[in-house]
Amino acid sequence: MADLSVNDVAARQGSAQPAKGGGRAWLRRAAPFLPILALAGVAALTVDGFGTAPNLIAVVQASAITGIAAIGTAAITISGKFVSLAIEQQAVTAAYIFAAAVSAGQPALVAVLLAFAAAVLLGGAQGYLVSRGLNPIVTTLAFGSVLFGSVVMLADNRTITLSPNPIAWLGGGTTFGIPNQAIVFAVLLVLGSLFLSRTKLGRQMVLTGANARAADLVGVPTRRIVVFAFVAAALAAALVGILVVGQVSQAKSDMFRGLTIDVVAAILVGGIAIQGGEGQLWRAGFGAIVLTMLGNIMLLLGIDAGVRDLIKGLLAGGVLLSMTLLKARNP
Amino acid sequence: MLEISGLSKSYGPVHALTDVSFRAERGKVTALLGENGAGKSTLVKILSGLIAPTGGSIRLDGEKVDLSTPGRAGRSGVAVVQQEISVLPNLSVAENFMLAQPSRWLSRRTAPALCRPYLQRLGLGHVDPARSVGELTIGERQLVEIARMLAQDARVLVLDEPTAALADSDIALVHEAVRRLAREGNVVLYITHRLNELDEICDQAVVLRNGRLADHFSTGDATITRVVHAMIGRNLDELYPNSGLSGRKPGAQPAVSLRGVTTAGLASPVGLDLRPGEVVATCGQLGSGFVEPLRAIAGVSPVTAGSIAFDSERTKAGVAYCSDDRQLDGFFRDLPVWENLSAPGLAASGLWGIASASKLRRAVEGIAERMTILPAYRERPVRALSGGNAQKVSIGKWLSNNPRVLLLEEPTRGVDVGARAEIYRLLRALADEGLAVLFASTDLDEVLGFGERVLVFHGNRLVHEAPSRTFSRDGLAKWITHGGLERE
Repeated sequence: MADLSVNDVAARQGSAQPAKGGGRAWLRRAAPFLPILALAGVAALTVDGFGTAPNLIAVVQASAITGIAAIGTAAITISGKFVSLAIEQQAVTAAYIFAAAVSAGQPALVAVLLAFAAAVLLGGAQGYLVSRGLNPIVTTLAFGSVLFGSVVMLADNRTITLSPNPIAWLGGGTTFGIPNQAIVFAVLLVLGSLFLSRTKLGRQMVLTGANARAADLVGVPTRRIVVFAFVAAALAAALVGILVVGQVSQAKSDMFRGLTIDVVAAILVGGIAIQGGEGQLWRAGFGAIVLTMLGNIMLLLGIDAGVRDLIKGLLAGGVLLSMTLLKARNP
Repeated sequence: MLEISGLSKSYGPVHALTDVSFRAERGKVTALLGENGAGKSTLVKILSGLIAPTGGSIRLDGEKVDLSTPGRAGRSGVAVVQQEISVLPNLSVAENFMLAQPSRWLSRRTAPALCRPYLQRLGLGHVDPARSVGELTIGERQLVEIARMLAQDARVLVLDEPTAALADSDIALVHEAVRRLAREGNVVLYITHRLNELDEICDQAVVLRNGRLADHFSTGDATITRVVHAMIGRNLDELYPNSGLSGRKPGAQPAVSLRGVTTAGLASPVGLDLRPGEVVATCGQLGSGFVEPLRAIAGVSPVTAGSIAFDSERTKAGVAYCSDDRQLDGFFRDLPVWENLSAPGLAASGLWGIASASKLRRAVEGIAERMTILPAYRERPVRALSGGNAQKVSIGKWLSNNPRVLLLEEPTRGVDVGARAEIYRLLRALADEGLAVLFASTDLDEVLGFGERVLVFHGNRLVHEAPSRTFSRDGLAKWITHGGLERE
């Protein structure tokens, strides 16, 4: 269904600029992708170890984590509320709740449900505040900080280690050689795209992001939709937390350091309009893969962590800038 | 004298302007008319130095004018006042003046003295230059904008729909200023969609159609028929469709009844019965409360007292409301036309369930047909449409939700005359099918021509209600400005 949304855009762009505009519309769609695809090709040929199966699996696995969180957060972006800056804190919370429940002897399913229930509450609370007019950036920043502080305090900043780990198969296992995390990522991407283009709620979410006032007037329950978007983002963050506990068999406070920025960068690099109202979820997944791949290449080349972050940041900024410029030129 | 000869502009195979020639004399106001897309804005862009013509020349008093950049156009004495008011509301009048003169030494102390003479020339002598522009009326802001242009020693003034967003009292202010500028010996090019302004302030008129000069006449010879014929290339039988369909009676039972309704914008209670099949107009000056009944019914303005009764739940669910600012909340500008048209229907169908794009597209085809939106436009984002087509989307989208009551503020603001006639015809047809139509407008001709019953508001009160045929235009204007007829 990712295809469907692509065709939508093609139809839109093509008819907006009949005849000679077609070339530029195609260029605009592909602009964020071309240099990056070229990079992958060059890296496969020149960087030692990039093209090997274990490395590629590692890239997919790592991008699955960023990607799943980005799919959820994209709901917030598409509904016109920018991003959540509490992603890593929510993932850590879910990881602790899950790990604590399992260590306390609860079955894995109950532990998962507990983590999800907490996510619904946390996301719902942030969504409610934002839907009443609070700034989403400030709200999620404050929320994340409070949440993180509480969790670390309650856990006494201990690391909870699970042995045995009941969901090791999900976090670290593979099916037919494909990491299970990547399968979850792909399934969510397809489901999310279907949701946006084929369900009433999804389409109304796009309307809300495109023009909240107009959506309100035609009867779209914009507030409920914003709450829903924040719940979706919180659930995705919780899923990430659980998956990584499955992978590393422990929960600790710094396990997701940098995830929020990676997710925001993935959304930007993928080319989701930050002002909302553009419903192409696959872009968030694409952005996550690209960023992870870039990080991986730089790691293999022995580039410092600082430089790696610098380049990721520049990339996100560059894509944002080029999108804005292209949009300004094709009003 | 401004002399434009053989002016052409093409973008590849598209000819925006073809061989346009006319003269505009000093001391006279020349109206520039045409439908959206006729080439008016291309001409304005050339005059302001934003784009270069592909052919032809522009001379002022026999000398060629350098219009290669906006800066040079300004120095050559051509000043363009754009349609959107571009003075900054948070700055003072004097500060706004200083912004227009980047080359001069700026000082907070001398600026007020510098701009006062220009304000006086436009009848704004009472405005303190230290006041912030945000405190002025929209009409005064428009004049500050014009005054700012005068400060650059303009000899040619191009005014792009300066009264489009103004109420009648402010319009008089701007008209007075424009006449004064012409009397001082300037060339004034005046772009407008309001045909009654032709008689009121213009001396001659130039009509563009499809990028060509369609007609050029002095306003003494103008009849509405001639002007409209030149603009749309055919005779428009009637701008306002005939309301007296044979045998049609408005329903006896009101669809909506307002009983003693007050809102934050109404000082005294308003009662109103709106019957199926009726077209009712409310009018008044900006801020007089004339939009409040619509907003109360739509639920946009909270009702503080009184009650609103609908004849059925079905009617209550079928209330459609278009505000006076369609750019702000009338449509989704970046989404394609079909998605806009389907939005109210989609929202009414609830949040849960499947919605396929192709089904939604097909469902609104009939609406697009009915709104006479060409198939080529239906996949385009609304931002790419002209004002007329955008308004058709803004109104037409409600048809996807089978409305029973249509509430429209300024239904044809910024809409050219051809599209206006289409919108009136459509609204009339909807009323004949049993919809109740209530519109609010500051355009008196529209109120009298299209409304069957008129409610006049003054000072946040309903002051008069009568069938539109009982009003003369002047009589209605007096009701609006004075809240009553003068007893003589």
